[in-house]
Amino acid sequence: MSPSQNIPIGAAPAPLLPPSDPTAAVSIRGLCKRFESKLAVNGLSLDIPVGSFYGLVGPNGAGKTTTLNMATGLLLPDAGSVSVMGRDVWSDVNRAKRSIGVMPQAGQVFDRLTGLQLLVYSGMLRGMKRAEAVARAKDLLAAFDLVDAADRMVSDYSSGMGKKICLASAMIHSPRLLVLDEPFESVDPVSSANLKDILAEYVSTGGTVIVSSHVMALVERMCTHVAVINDGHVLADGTVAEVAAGEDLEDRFLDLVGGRHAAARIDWLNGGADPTGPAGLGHDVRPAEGDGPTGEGLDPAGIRSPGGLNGSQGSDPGDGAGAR
Amino acid sequence: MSEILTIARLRWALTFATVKRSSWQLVGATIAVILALQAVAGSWFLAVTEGEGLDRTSAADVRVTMVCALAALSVTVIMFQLMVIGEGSTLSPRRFVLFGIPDRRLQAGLMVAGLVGLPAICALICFLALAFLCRGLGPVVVIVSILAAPVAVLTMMSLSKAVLSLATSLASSQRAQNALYLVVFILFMLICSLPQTISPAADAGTLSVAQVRPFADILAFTPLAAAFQLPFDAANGDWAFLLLRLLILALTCWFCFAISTWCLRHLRLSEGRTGARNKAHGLGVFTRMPDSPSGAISARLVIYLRRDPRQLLYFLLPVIFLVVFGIQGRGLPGLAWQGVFLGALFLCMYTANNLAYDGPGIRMQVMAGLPGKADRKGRVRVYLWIMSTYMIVECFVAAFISDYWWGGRHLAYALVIACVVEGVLMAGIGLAQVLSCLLIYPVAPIDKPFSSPQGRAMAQGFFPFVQLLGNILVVLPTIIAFFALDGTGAGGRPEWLLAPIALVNGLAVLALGVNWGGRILDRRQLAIVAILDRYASL
Repeated sequence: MSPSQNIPIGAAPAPLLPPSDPTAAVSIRGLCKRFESKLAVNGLSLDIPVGSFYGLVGPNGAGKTTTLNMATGLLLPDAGSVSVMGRDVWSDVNRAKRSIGVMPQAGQVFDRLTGLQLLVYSGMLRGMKRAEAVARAKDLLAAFDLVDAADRMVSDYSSGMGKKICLASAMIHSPRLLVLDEPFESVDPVSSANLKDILAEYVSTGGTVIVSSHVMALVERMCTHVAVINDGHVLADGTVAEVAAGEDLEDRFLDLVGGRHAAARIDWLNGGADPTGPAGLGHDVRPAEGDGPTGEGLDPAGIRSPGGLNGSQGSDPGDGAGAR
Repeated sequence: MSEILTIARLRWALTFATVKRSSWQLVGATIAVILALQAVAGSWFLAVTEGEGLDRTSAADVRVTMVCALAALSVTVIMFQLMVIGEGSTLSPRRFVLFGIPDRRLQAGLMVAGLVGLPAICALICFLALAFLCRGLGPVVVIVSILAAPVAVLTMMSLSKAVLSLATSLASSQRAQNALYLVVFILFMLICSLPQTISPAADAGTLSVAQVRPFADILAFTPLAAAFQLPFDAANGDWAFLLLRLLILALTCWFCFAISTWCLRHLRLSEGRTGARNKAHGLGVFTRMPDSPSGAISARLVIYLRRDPRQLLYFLLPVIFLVVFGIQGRGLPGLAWQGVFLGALFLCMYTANNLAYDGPGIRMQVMAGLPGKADRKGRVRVYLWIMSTYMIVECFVAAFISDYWWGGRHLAYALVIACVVEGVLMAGIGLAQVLSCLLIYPVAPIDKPFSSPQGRAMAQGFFPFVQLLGNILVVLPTIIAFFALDGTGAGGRPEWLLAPIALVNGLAVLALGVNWGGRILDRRQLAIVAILDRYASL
């Protein structure tokens, strides 16, 4: 799959974007959003295939959450279009929301309700009849191992249980598209494995899952497709294999987003190794000769910088800090 | 020392940052500054006028007034801090726990931050202005007054911080906190009505200096009012008493500081609330509401009304008003009905900020694509059902208290008043369905009802009055009818007509409110979510 067409804002005569793909689960064209002076999403375009488990990855502040909010009708874009299952989201947003399940964050639910009440509430809000909502809620509670906690207030749940009930509330109306923001954070490995099985089953029946995550190992293991986002636009997208291009996905991600640099050695940050006094109290803790990572020296501020102090290229075998 | 100054600077940095975020906060801040300037101007005017020709003879009465006024102000500040202003959540000690600041230094920083806030600065300037009142008693007395001003502010601040720290530390479980919050609120309301209760309305509600002199003499030895007694001790040459009172004030400040520091330590070491886990069996009230999206909203609202002390206390207000006005109305039995009307208006004021109490949870219904009208219907169903029943019971009680119960013309009049109250209530709830989508001010989080989001005090002082004034406007047809029919019935016109007019007025505004409120909610739902997310981060 070829890289998506990305048109930065302010660029002179931008080429026309291809029309939205009506066969895609989500088709985004030229999405833009500005918050005061910050351009959070900058002409982002993306197609998410139906039946895919799609990972959206990027550094903090890349625009992932903003993009997902705009795609799910929770944030009005400044420009661009989003269609879900071939229908423009913003022309009838309430209708679009019926086929989308967005997982709320822990602080975005009514946590004074019990687990059962929260799920039934979530279902009834979407027009489900109470009996059906109750039946589905019980199924979900069993699937997520929350049966014993069904009658407890959500505010008394652990953070992992809270994540599960939030995910369940996004699934109760059987949406065709699930949007999950960091779903496995704080979830124990056993529950995490159960959730992955449920999501894999959901995808195998034709559902589409979009996951925003920082955990590359998870994305690599679970996702069929991935998009790397930075500075509000897509750097690469496609199947996991296509984006990884033969490398480890995390390494490829780091290559794409950049920003990686050699560890800065801060003079006073020595973990108390200086026997003559506490660190950070005006004691210059110079490393022993030959100590320190390759090619680094000290600048006048006492912070090491590339270039070397006196051209020394040696490294202390015991110093693991510069090993990467 | 640097941490203390940094925390003090932090307070103003946060205040300015909050004001910059929202034009409404700026409006509230401007109003607060204007009110502060008015208070200062009023104090100066009082000092100039009342100090004219003040001598040792007339100073005795002035002393009583000032001592009682300071005591009342001190109690009000403490209670107000607990309920409305509270412990600023932005400067909550929990926020500083990672920095490892010693408890004493942290408490000192929080104290200094409180002292450099607008209310404390305003109080200091007002008290300094009042020092001019004693100019007729000699320069020494004026100097003592000037020195007593910061002592009074420091004592009030110390007392309120100590009480607040104790309340939040010792009420360890959620239930205990909720109960404490409600008890404090009731106490506050009863204390506020004490003067009128002592001197009932039939006596024109005035208290003579002679009546309160014994109280003033006692209060002058308490930290609540000792600071304002100091100048008069100097005027009388009672230096021993002056020193004694200074000692009382110093010990009070030290003791309060020690308590607050202890509470900081207690909070830090016993973090994590313990208490019985809250359980409910099955769906509860969900089964008793209509099987529809609006029914889900109603069920959720009822559950929250039971578990949310912030909302629960508003439902205590009508009872408190009825009791207070009933007691005050000795000799004027009809006064009890004022309590009923006031209760209805305050219930409507609460409903005008209903979305703020939902907080970020409102996102669930936005994600679900719930139509705004369904939300408004769901809420109105609950408000109307609970509040109407409540008001009808209140009317019965008021009729009993006011002797309108015993039949005849008075009973008919009581029924008319009850219908008018219901009409006012319905109109207020209808108006609230519109205003709650437009004017939202931050409220304390549900698990910290004592806390105060930054900037809440300013908005909370202004927005409810919009509902109050609006409520009067939307019942204009009823008001006009009252005067046209000469509501007392003395003109021989059929005042019973007021009842259907009021009910129709109320129903019409209610229906319009649900309709328009629903449309406004649909259009503004994303903005409302953003506002509530922002308030949650305060």
